[in-house]
Amino acid sequence: MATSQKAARLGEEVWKTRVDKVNAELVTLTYGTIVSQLCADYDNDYAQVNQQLDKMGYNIGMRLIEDFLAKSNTGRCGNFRDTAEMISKVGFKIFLNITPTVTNWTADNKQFSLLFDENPLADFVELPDDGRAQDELWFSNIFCGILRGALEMVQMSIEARFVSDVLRGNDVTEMRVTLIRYIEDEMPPDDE
Amino acid sequence: MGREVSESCVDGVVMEMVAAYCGRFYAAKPELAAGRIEAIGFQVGHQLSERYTMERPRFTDHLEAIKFICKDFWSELFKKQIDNLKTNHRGTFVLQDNHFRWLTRVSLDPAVENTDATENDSGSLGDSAAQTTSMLLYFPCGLIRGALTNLGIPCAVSADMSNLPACSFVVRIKT
Amino acid sequence: MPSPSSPPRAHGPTTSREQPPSIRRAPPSRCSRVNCRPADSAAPDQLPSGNMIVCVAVVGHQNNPLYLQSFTEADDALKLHHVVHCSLDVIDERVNNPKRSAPTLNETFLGLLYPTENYKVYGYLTNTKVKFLMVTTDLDVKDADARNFFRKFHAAYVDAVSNPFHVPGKKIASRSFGARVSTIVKSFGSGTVG
Repeated sequence: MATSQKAARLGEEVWKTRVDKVNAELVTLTYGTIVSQLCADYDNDYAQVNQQLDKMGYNIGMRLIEDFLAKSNTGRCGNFRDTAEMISKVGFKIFLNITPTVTNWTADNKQFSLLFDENPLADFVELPDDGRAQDELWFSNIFCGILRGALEMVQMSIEARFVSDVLRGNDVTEMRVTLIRYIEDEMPPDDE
Repeated sequence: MGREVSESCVDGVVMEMVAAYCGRFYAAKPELAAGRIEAIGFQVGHQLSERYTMERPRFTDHLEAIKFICKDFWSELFKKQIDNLKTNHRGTFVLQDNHFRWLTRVSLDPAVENTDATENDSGSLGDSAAQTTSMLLYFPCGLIRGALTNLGIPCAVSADMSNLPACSFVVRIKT
Repeated sequence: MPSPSSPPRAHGPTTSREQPPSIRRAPPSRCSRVNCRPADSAAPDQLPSGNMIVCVAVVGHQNNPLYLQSFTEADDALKLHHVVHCSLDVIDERVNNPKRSAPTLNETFLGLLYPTENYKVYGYLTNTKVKFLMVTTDLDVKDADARNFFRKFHAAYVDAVSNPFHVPGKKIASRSFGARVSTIVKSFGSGTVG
């Protein structure tokens, strides 16, 4: 696909020339400690932890999008398929130097999967063996919030959730992304 | 060369961590928030010191370990060394970074920016911006304390930001 | 199937928390080098051929056991524990009373700690005061092979303690650490690089 190749080249170029890079360990270990700290604070209520990670990601995404737009210098995507390519080949590339694979499109082109064959946040991680973490915790849930927050700032309402994770013993780490709707410029509803 | 990520990732995660612990988790209890942020820094510093001392001989004394923090450790994290190291030769060390990266790169939430932004003389911040900054600094304090503790040097670490954009970290070794 | 009794705890500062009991140490007089010979019960033929490392151990700075794995079919567990205990004494001696002439004063690789009739024990002390021990039946170990072993082992250890759910000071529970150590042990002495 022309878009995919263009996006890949753009991502590569921005990563090489316009990104200040740093050792990944600081992010990996800081994020990991935040997750494990949340697990302790919420007494291993992993559903709560997932929620908090999503919320933190949402806030980060809202700020990260400006950095993304400034560095990638791209206009609005024509359709959701183009958006997917930008997310995987530019977004993840210029921040984490990874390019998850875009796959499993639904027929209506409103839903796709991101397959992560590498994940800097999960380096060194082994989920606790308490019989529940492997079924309930989505360690990298911050990604879902980041996508949601970032895309909301460019007029897209999406839902993102993990459906499998190698940390849980699954074969792949897969996130499912769904377009809910485009946010038109509209009068905000009356505040309650 | 190990894995790399963009610096804005680090900034984003660190800033959000500070905002979350100060604004949501311990909103009315800044001391608890500070303690948590420092504790997170402590664990990360602990783990980083394990990794960054892997290929080198053991330190013979406290000064060698402190110098490691000033040079190799700081370079791995902030791509520069500590600019100035002072000691009173009685267990207190002052590590000064003239241009601490996180103070210059990390943008403070515009919503909490100080009211007297118009008279921004160098070296001073408005109240709430200063508070956010001091909260943020608990993290690198924890990093230093975690690293030194893991190297067998229990200590207390505090930050002094009276001379922005320079930032000093005061290490007091516990005897 | 491992079933920990309580969920992992918060990782606050590690000072003055409950510490696992230290390895019980025999009084010095009983643990002199001369006496540190394993009982002559197990026949060496029972050891699987080609696998020359029989035991590896990780011990924390308070002599708290972090990891202990034997690689022998023979019922040597008790013997190997004894060997590990004695090694800790030797390391302490070496570190606290270094020979004035020793050029390798601060090296992490401590070299041969002591030979017994059937085993050789090699030691390694990290900057973070963690001790690695390697017990081998090979009586003709090349220095380079031992160093190489510890280098790889150290890398595996660092990754294991970088797990955010690992509690400093507690035993290493990581499965991938165990698997990695097995691989390193199996490739010992075969001359493979890296």
